[in-house]
Amino acid sequence: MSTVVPASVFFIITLVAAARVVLLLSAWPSVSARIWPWLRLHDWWPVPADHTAEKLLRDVLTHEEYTQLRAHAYLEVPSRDRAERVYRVPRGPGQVQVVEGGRVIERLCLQPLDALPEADVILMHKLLIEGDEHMYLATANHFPRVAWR
Amino acid sequence: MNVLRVLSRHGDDRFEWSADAVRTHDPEAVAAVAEAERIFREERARGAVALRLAPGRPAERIEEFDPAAEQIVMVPRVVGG
Repeated sequence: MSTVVPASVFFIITLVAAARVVLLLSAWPSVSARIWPWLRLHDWWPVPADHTAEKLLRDVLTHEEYTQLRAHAYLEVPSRDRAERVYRVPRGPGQVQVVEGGRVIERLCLQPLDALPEADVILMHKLLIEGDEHMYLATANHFPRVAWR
Repeated sequence: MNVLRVLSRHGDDRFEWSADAVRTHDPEAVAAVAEAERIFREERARGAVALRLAPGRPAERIEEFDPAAEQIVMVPRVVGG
């Protein structure tokens, strides 16, 4: 009995410590942008919607785009209307940044009316920016730099 | 295979057909493409945006169903947040 109790206590402490380390790492965007997508791509991932959405995102993006998303937790979508403009779409919550000449000039907020998995939201932004940038800009709420500086 | 994907809370709902089989008037393929077109119109009526995807090219918005498209993705209605 005396050897069982310390062993179980040690096990629980180790488990809690491991969970805390995972939570801490998850809060770090560049780490969580690698871990969670990697986990979601496995067939055993318990949320089928996330698994399906992540697979679609990986299939639609080029290798370079998906690598950028994993490394930086955002995807850069070049404007088709303005050569110097890039839209920076974040993985997870956050607004899309409009970058011109390396400088963020405004932020945009646009969301689907119905809830979508995280990966589908990234894909949604990319496809709408590429497919109809004018409509995308007309629909999004704009937050110019002066508003959040 | 050609595919229509409708983004949803389930990830995406897929509807497949074979454009080659449709050209040979294969009954199953004709039924499949008709079903895909019906869903396309239904989603468009709900405010979804349809985008045609092709490898190595940017997405292209389409207003009418294209049975020859390799892949069509339908994005549900979006609003400013």
